[in-house]
Amino acid sequence: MIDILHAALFTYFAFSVVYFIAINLVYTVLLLISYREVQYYMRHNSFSDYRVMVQSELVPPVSILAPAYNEEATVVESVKSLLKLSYGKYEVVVINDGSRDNTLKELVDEFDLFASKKLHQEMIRAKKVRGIYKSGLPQYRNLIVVDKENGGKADALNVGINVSQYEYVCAIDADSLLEDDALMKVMKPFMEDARVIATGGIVRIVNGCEVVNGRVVRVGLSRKFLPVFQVIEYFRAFLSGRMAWHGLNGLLIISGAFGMFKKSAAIEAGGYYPATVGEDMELVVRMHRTKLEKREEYRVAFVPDPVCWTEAPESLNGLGKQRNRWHRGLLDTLSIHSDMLLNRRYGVVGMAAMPYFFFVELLGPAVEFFGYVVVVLLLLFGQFNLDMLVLFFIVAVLYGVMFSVGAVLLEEVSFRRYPKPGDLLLLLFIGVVENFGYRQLTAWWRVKGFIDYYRGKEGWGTIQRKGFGPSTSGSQHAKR
Amino acid sequence: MPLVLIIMISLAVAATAFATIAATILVINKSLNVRRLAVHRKILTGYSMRAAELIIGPLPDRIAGVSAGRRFKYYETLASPTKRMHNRLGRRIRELHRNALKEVLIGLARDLTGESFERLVYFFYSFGFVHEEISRLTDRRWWIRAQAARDLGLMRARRSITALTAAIEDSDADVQMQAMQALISIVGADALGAIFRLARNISPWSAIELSQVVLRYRDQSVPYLLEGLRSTDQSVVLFCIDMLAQIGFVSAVEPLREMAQAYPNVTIRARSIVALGELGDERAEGLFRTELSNPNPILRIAAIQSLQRVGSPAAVPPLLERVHSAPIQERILAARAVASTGDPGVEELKKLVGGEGRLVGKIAEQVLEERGISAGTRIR
Repeated sequence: MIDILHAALFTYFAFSVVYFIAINLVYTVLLLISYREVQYYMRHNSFSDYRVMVQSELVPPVSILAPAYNEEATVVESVKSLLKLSYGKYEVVVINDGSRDNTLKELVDEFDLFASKKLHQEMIRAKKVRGIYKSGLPQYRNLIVVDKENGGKADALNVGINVSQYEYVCAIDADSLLEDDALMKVMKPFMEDARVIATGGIVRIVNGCEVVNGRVVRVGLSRKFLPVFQVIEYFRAFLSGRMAWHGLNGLLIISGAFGMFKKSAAIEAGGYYPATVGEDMELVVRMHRTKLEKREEYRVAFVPDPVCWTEAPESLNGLGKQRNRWHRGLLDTLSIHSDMLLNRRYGVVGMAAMPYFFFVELLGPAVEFFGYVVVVLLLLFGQFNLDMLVLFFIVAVLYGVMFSVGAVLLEEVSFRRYPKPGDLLLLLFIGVVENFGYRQLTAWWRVKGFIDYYRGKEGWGTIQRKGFGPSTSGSQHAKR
Repeated sequence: MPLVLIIMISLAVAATAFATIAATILVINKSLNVRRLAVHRKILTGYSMRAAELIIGPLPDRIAGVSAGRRFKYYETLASPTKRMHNRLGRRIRELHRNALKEVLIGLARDLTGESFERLVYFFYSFGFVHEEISRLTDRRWWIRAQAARDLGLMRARRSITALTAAIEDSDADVQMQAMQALISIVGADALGAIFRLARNISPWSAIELSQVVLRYRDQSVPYLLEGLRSTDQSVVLFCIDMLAQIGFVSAVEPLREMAQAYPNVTIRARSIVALGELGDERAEGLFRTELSNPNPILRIAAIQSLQRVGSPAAVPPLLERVHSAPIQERILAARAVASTGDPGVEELKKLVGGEGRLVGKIAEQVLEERGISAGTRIR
């Protein structure tokens, strides 16, 4: 019996080594593709002057959808900041998702709202709309506030799509900070290529930056380690992950914090799916699916420009909840669309992107976490060569460092948003340090996401945010 | 040595090498960048002063008013010291200096006119910048070609017209766009003829970029826009329609009417109808009313939008028909068009509020609210 256990443990370890080599190979390929794509983007973009173009009458109008749930502390500032964006014609649709606090009252008071008779068509089924409000102040003519029964973020966004009047809808988190020209940058791919049905922009960590009137005026790193760890993670995920999948037209995630969609394509796909916490990824996968099944040409694009800033959790508890939710969302989406996995009918999405998300993103943390457990057991049983273990760990760390450095390199050859050499050194240092403890912790949170998923845990949970001002606090969008 | 160990060590070596080299280069590069920027600024400042001497210095009396040949000789005497200085520099440093000089001169090109501008153009040729950029137009890298086209436009180098015209048909959209913009900078509105003849597949993004340039010339561009309506490329035709609508030139009405009635492509017909509406020509009103009953929704919606622009009370009855029986978005548009006719339309909409059709009444209420006629309920 013991021999069988030893053999099983050793086999698992050998599998882990092969898995490790395979995923690092995949990461390397993605990093190289990203490098090519970022270079292309930078060159291509250097010939556009957004400031001039934003004035053109030919720029298509956009509806910004901002769901809000218990955001009384920040909602007014967030909406004001959205109303000041530099873009031709756009409307801001704030969807109050049955908040239990004074979110709606804050909006009513600040923007002098009145109950509007605006009609809306239920193109996507959603919870009941209690009222639609418009501002009586001329400077806020493009603001629409929808009050609805609580149904979660996905449901709120579906209502937003139903109420919006323009063909392009931009879904954002109410607490996201957008760059002035963010809309123009994410609209550009639609205007360059009629096949584009959705675009996502880079989301960056605002902790450590200076924010004035809802705009990031100075980019910097937080003095706390946890947000800086996440800066590196975001670099890896966005610059060297999503950029590569953009190049392969297999981008499966557009961040819920900031994504632009062609409304007709989103409706055609059925809108957001309310029964998942990974509604952002689920919608994009379903849009891929719909187009591929109809054999229509399409593209899902990614804009590597830093267009949106978001606040990262600063506590382990908050970060753990966030990662847990992300992993449950990923698992849910892959379960819903499991028939696309390794299905040639779905082209790059079925044969490359879905397998990547399944084998690397979904199973990776579990393989890694159980790898640690197996190594400990093998050591306890005295069945393991310690030198070999140390060597494997060194290789694993070095590869972790390599991809972190690669991601920082992409940032440095492109946007250089962190101007100080000191910031760069800190990022490189964090790229090394994160391998000792932080990486293992995130693997555990994600494994816990598996457990919670199968235990039937739903919802977003509550994450305390510090806010951008000195005295703001709020909670992440939750479903009761 | 076991195979796994060899693989591990190789991987470790590869990862270490990459991480170390990349990190070292990044840090050094970041630090050097600060220095490079300072050097670049210093060189630029030096050339800004030199350029001021070259360009703004008064023309000696003996040269003023004489033949261009003698003026050019004088300009050459001004440029010679800089050229001699460049020749003494090493290749890389010389490149830095030449780029800085080019940047400064191009910066000046935007604001200069008259003899100073003539001098500036002479320097672009004399320092070899024009020749250099023309040869870059055939580079295999698209971004070099695009940059060359842009610079030639900024230098307003007439000698590059042939090369830039050829670049309109480049395989890369950025090169095409930069070439078009450059040609317009050099030749003015007259370049539009060649552009509309040669351009293909103008994307909406490129159309916005090009529209910024066309709108600078407004009336002068109209003959070329009218000519562009005959292009075999649909994107060019659509662009010309949009521009004619924005510029609002009366001679555009007749060709647009013809296109709205007889063009084989529905999108172009619809855009022509919208353009006619934006031109506000009452002669086209009959056409709009006819198109209200077109079986194609794209054409119907275009007609409604145009009638909204024109705002003629005669259109109220057919528009009210659409308010009563059409898909909801079309009904709302039709109601807006009714409201835009003024009092008669508003009165008709008021009659609909609380009338027999619940949806029709709600549509009327929404539109009246949009026009500020019946404000919604205050909630405080």
